[in-house]
Amino acid sequence: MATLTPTHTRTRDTVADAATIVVGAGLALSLGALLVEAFANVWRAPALLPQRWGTRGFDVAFAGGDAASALVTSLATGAASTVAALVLAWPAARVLGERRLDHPAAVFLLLAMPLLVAPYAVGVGLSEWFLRLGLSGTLTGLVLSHLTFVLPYAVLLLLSGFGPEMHGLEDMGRAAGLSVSQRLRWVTVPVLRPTLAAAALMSFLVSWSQYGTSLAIAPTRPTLPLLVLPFIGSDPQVAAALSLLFLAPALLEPVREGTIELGDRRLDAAVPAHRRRVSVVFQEPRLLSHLRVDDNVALPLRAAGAGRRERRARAAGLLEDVGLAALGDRAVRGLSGGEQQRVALARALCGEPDLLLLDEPLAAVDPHRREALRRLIIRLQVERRLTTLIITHDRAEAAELADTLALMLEGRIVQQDDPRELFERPRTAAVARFFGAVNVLRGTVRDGRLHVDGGGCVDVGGPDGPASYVIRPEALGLDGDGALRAKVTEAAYAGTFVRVVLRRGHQRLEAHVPLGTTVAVGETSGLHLPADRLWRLPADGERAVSTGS
Amino acid sequence: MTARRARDLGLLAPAILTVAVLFGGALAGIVRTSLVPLGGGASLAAWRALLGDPDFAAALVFTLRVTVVSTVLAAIVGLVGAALLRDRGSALRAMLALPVPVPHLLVATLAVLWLAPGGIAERALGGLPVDLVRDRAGLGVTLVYVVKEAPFLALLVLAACGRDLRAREEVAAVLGSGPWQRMRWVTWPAIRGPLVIGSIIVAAYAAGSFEVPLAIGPNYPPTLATFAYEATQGDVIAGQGEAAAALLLTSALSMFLALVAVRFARDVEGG
Repeated sequence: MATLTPTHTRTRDTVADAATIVVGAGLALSLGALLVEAFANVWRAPALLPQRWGTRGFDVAFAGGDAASALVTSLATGAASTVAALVLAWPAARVLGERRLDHPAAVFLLLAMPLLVAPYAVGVGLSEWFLRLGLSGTLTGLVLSHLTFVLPYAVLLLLSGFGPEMHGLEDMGRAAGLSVSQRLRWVTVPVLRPTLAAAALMSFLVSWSQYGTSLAIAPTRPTLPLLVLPFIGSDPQVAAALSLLFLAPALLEPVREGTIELGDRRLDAAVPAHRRRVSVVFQEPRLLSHLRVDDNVALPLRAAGAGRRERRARAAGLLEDVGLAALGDRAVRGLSGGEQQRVALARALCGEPDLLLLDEPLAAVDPHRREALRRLIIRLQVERRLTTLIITHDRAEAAELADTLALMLEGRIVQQDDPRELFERPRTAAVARFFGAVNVLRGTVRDGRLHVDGGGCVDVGGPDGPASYVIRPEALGLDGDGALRAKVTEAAYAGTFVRVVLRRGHQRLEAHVPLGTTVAVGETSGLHLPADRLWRLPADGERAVSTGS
Repeated sequence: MTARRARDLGLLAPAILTVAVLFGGALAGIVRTSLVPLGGGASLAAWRALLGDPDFAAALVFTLRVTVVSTVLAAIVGLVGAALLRDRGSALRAMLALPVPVPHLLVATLAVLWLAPGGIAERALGGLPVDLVRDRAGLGVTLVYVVKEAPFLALLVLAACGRDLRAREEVAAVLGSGPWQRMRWVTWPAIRGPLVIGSIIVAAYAAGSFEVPLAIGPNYPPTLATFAYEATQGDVIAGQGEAAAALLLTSALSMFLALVAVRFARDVEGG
């Protein structure tokens, strides 16, 4: 189906291209400038390039071992605080991600609180205690102080990996008999790996760039940021050389063709979706969770500028139509899937569209609710005399809802007709099979009798010549005296009938016989083929049979 | 309490206790330092000295201005960037993400290299119309925050603009909502949360940041964080108390801005 999303304007693309070039050039120039500065021994104004190149910046930075020591301290602190944060964050993220808490906001707020406060403030506050505990100036003190800021990021990033999808996968692993450790190794960790990597990288970077806490906790054991700052104003080459070390971890559908016409209006890409007067109900309800039920229903009226009172009154009427009159002021989250789809249907009708498009509207609804919704759609359709286009894979649903049915196979409409025609008089073998007429008999008609390939005759009438006939399983009966015979290979109870599978050589036939019919698997039975239920495929249909079989 | 709930609390406990002990300890420590100077009894001397210091008032105003301006500008640039890149490929998004993990200090270093008197921009252009390094208005500090934080906010917004949002926009469109209506009723409610939370983090960082104002900011007025740092460089005993008091106020300012932002986000419910 062609999507109704409007085409993005050329202007926006041009601006986006220009912005991309500017951002790209800015990044390239910035990195280039840093490299040039880092390897400039002498670079006096106003020259655009250094007078002398060399490694003076690195030599000064590493003289006396300060830079090497700072690098080791930064790496060790970053690694230790990252590991600690991930270990602590994992269980918390699981609980928060699976939304098992009644009031998660308080937990989120508590965990995110350190992000709202200046790192230097936390550093000064902690230094008061660390001094007494002998942690001031130590690597442990640095790791603990960094953990205050790293842990919230680790939890926030990890919890995105512990959603309902992960829960479902782990349930599947449990059902498959995997132990806790097997589920962890084969399900949880592999699925979570990208999130875990992102959380680890972010955690490390938060620690790597900490300045305020490091200054307060361990001024005599500098990390890389503490070492860089004094050089920024006094010796830019050294600052640039040290900054290069800093960079290391960081490097680590529209309508496209064809036309759509509705009445005398042509709906192509030039007509924006909101002006087409076509309402759509999708497979999933797509309700706006921040609006109450009646506000969702009245969205089209809101778009048209109607006042709140009018919107709510109209929504109430439509909700009554779909059997949800009492739920107008509810939040959509509390509704069942079937109720949500009813709301979506009411919403689609609210704008009084010229065409209602139902895109598999019942596919995501529980089977026991599907029947009620189907009846509702038929009632609304009849009452409102609204042109409705429904897309479905369910042939029974199609037959029940539509007065004209078009079968699309491989992107082409292969037959468009009354539903009864498609079921009982298919134009090709493919159409026949799609609608369940799986029995195809090929042979030659002579004197009104079909001489079936592989032996046997059936009275069919019609002109002489090669022919293919189809018969639906429910029309094919078992008759001990039938001239056409086949071997029963399967018989299975199917609720309201017995499904019998028969073989004639390589040909497979299927019959749906009444409950209580005596069927002996392995024995050969005669077939009953009522002449009025046999349908001779047209000539092109016969070609389709011979190609397809 | 059910076994399930007890188990959930048990799983949450390590992270919550760690944050509570470290962050709560830090707050308690800083309150104590502001009230009990080294070697002395409890007094409000540090608070009196702070509130009577004209430099503190200047630092407060300067910090507020830089914080609000840089956060608002970063949010606007981030939103525009997200709108332009929404339908673009992952390569462009990766390019946008590049500045996010880069430390603030590195961006400040680059700003000095480019924008300082005698820097690359001045050499290439023969002069800049405004001073951006060590300027009293704090333009350089603001610029660094915007360059550094706008991509962060853009990525947060883009993360909220997934397929689900596209589907809802599609529904709103076929139900007759124009582009502006879709923005107000569908897109904005979806991106508002991440944008506000991101902006709070940006504002909190800008209000309490230390290294960027030290690297590129003016000598006067200081920000609250640099004011606190400088207070510790003179009289250690009195300075520690005054620094702690200033930092407490900085933290309170960040939290106040966060509350205002959350309140604002609730009030602008579409319609």
